Amino acid sequence: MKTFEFRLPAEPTAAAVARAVLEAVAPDLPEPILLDAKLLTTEVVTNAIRHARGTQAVIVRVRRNKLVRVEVVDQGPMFDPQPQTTSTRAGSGQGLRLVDGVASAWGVEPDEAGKKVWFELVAIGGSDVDL
Amino acid sequence: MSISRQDMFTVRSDSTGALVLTGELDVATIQQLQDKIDEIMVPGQPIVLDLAQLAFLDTSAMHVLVGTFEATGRPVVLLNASRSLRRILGYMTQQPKAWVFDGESPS
Repeated sequence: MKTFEFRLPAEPTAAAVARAVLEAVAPDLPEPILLDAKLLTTEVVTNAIRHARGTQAVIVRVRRNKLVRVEVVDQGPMFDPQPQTTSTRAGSGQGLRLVDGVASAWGVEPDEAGKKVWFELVAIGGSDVDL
Repeated sequence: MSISRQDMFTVRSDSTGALVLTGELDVATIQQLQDKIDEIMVPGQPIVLDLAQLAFLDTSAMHVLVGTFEATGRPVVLLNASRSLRRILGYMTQQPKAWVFDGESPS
C-alpha cells in the first residue's frame, strides 16, 4: 500500500490545494467517497491552520486500499477529541462534528512533529487494488 | 502548487437579484460571499444563491447560511445545487431551516 505525503504551507488556500491533491492521487474513488474525503480533509486542514498555534505547515498523508485514510499532521498541541454538540457557531467543533458524523473512524494521536488528526472512509465500490 | 483566491471563487449578482457563485467556497473565499450578502441584504427578504457553478462548500459556508437566515428571518434559497452540494449540505443538520433548495417550502 502506497502512502502519498505532501506538505502544505499554513495559508488560507491550503485546504483547496489539499482537495486538488486528493483528486489527483485518488481519481478512481467512487465520486461520493472522494467528495467526503475532500470535505473532511478541508475541515481538518482548516482546523490545523486556524487553531493549532505555531503551525507553519501541515503534512497530509493519504493511504489507500479498501479504506481511504487521511492524516493531517500539525505542530499544535493535542486536544480532547470530543466534538462540540451544542453550538451552531463557528469553531473547530463544527468541523470535527462533521468528521465524527461522516468518517468510519477518526482520532487524534501524537506525532513526531506534534499531533495528527486522522480519519478513514470505506471506499465502497472502489478498486481493491492498491495504488 | 498554489491557488489564488480570485481564481478559486467569484460571486456576482444576476438580473433577478440572485447571487451567482462560481468555484469553491471554504475559509479562503467565504469572506467574499459574506461581503456580497452584507451589501445586498434587506431584513425580511430572502437571499437567493445560484449554485449551478459552485463545485464545493464546507462548514464555513454553512455558518454564512445560518447567519444570513438569522439576519433576514428568511431561509436562504439555493438554486441549482448539484448532487455533491446537496450531499454536503445534508451532513449539516444543526440548523435545517436555514436554507431551502429551489424555493421549495421549508420542512
